Amino acid sequence: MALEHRFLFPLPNGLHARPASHLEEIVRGFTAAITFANDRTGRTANAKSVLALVGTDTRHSDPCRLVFQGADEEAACSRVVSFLSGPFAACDEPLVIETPAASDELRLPRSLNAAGLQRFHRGASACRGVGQGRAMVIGAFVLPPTLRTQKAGDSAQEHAAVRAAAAAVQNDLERSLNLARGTEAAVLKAHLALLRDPALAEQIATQIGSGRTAAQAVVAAIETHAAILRQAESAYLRERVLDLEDIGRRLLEKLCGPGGGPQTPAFSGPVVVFAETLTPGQFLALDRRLLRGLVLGNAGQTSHTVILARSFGIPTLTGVSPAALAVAPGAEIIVDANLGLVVSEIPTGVRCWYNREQAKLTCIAQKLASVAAQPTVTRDGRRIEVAANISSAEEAVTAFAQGAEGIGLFRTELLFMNRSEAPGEEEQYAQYAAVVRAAAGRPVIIRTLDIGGDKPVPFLKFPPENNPFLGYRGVRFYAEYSDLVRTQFRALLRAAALGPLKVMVPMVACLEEARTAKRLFAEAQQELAAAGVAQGHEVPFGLMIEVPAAAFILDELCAEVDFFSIGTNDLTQYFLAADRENPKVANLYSSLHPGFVRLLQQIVAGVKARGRWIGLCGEMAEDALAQPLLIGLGLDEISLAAPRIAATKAALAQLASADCAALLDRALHCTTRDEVAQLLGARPVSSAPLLTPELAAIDVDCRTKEEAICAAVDLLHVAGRTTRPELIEEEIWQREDTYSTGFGGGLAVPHCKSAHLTANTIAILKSRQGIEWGSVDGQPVRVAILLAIRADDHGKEHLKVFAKLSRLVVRDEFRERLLAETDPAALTDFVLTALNS
Amino acid sequence: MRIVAVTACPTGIAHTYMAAEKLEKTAQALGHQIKVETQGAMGIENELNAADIKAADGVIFAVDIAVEQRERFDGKKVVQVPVQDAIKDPKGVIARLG
Repeated sequence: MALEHRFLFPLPNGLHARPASHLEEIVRGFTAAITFANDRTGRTANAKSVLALVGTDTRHSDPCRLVFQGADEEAACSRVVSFLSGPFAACDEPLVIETPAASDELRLPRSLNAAGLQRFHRGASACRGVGQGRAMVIGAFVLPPTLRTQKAGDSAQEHAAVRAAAAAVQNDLERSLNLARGTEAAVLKAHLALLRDPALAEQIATQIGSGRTAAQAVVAAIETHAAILRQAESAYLRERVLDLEDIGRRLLEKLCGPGGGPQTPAFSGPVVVFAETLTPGQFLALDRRLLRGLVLGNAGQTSHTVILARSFGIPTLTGVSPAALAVAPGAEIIVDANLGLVVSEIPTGVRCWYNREQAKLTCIAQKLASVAAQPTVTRDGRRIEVAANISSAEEAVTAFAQGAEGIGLFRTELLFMNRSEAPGEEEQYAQYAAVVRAAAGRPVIIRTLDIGGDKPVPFLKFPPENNPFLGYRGVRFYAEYSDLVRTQFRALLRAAALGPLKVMVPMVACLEEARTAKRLFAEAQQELAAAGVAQGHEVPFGLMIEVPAAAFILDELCAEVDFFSIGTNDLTQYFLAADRENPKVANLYSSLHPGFVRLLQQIVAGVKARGRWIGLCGEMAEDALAQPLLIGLGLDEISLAAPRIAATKAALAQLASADCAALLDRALHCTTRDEVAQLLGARPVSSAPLLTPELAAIDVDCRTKEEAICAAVDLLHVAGRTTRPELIEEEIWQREDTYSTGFGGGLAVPHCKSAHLTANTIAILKSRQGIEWGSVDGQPVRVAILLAIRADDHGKEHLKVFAKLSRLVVRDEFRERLLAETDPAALTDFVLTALNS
Repeated sequence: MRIVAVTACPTGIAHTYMAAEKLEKTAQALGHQIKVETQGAMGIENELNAADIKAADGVIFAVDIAVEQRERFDGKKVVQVPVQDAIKDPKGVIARLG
């Protein structure tokens, strides 16, 4: 008797190494034979082999079958089915794919052209940034000729050699894994799974059986599986070949000794690495402190190497031609992964251009870091806390480093999953304490166990459910599992003795549930008190708002608990009765549905009216379009993924809460989701002031018009008025090419209408020396006033200002004052006063 | 002299208004009366109506692009110059009205 489960493959990137290794982890412990079959490709695989699974070349929506045969087939089937319908979807990181420069024609900024850039190679940007260093070329690993033709000894010896090598590599990987975090850890885990893969071991054994040496067998086995992956239809799977080659290289290094493999080159200064391909292991072995850029021939946007480079912020180009890779070792290189080019012959002007560019980028990064380090305040002085969502204690440190003002949600499920018994009080305490310590006084909200039939754990005997999302989950099972819940409460209360910690309970739909949870919480407090164990004092107790029913008993809930956090993901799903994973109805799922916006407004107003704290944790917090609504709602806090925090804080600082409140009001009166989206997309740009002292530069050292316009655009870039300065520069030149904006008397008014501005802007540049501008009176320009207006701004407010400024600049007194003023603040004051009079 | 003028530059953000300012100030300094219509990014402002045009002794177009509703000026003699000329040498442009 066997069990079969049919399903459509749910992951957008197909069954690649990472989800395959997660699946393998789930099935590993069962004795039953488990077969994975893809009915589209016709391939089958032993589900306990990551390579075999990946080799099925399974894509999104493929019809698949899992067959379970053996003593524990029922348990295996049920476990796997639950895993597939729940946590499986979370196995796959959303791929951040930089869309490579679509245009075949590269339009260089005018100023870069003018600086003398002539010879360069192009590439697709896989990680933005600019880097300079000396070239180092790294070749692929090839078995030395002697080893290629070596005769095998006793096959038992060769088998033993491979086993020893595999054990040594496993050791290395596990040691690195202990020190690794995040993306690096995920890659190492995937490699470990490949190393232990039965299909690979089988292939190596077969090769040894055919008379090959251990080293030859490894090369052959790797190549066999690599060949399968290379046939894959998805680029993503093809890029996994690098992971296989990495394992191969590690095994060969163990088998052939330290002289047998390429030495990890030591860097003596800043380096730009060139390689046709680079395995993730090779990348990780490079000295990251000195690695300034990576130039790759054949590495797709999603190869692990590229993903790693991105996670470390190394400017990276992919898809460069062989000619580009034939660079002289030691040559000075500039990698520009913003424009997508690499330069190895650097004229003086180009060197200057990039020195200026890098100084500017550093300045911008520092600004962002300092914004990230500040509390978030809107333009008109309204505070809002921007916190981080985390799933593990390790993430807390990074989150704070990236500007989190607190932890808005620590999901504790991961502590409980993939294990046969619940974590004990000590183990949990250690985790919670680590987060509180990392917070160093900042607020921390930890959510108690939020698990249901879709993410089952062996120690919670949930009955099979047809609809786990509407089933026994979150607070609903707390009464039945009170010991487990009290243990978690005790661990939390003890951690609360070390610093601020708030406890939050999920999925509450009614008052009874809130009271049940509170009762368990109080029992935990009493247990600790009776045992004389230190615990936090007056630890706030709060609820997630994710079940719509809770929104209509706020009065009663406010009387019971101290705070709330809105879980917009689940709240939206339950409110609109639409599964975001279901392609047929996913378009209904939208946090911008006017009904949902009204619901949010009702919730926040209701909670604030009763003097309670309310935050929001959910993807809506990361949506730049929705952020003004969140400010307008009057939330105390929003919590989101740590990497998005710095940019979010910078964006919120540009908003005026009064404008946001007005915007919310209009959104409440919209009738459709599209109306709301349009309203948010077209919001007036008057929040950011046209001109600030930051946008005035005195005594700038420019010699040419190209440099001056570039410098003026730099002011916009640093002030956060654009993220595409090269496009603004182009648009200014389009107007300039029509006829010069130098209208005489040493003044010029370069201007543009652009889709790449975040706000209408005036910038003033005073040059140290006169600049040849092609002015009507032939005189050099000393003051350039840049006028930049958003192309989609249909209002007249700022156009009127520009018109007035235009009239002012042809007046002698105004001109003389502009030429005389040497202080940026005084200059902007003067201009703004004149504009307002 | 009663003068009417229209200014219109390519992007309609700056030069349209610079020219209007120069023509106004210069004409007034020379003792003339002047009304300048701007055709810019905000659309038509200070629009010249039939009465303005009928009463005008001279018409100036300081434009780099086509004048909107040009039919209003049918039958009138027009001095047409690029916008830059009006900015650089407004006196000379006005002098061409005779």
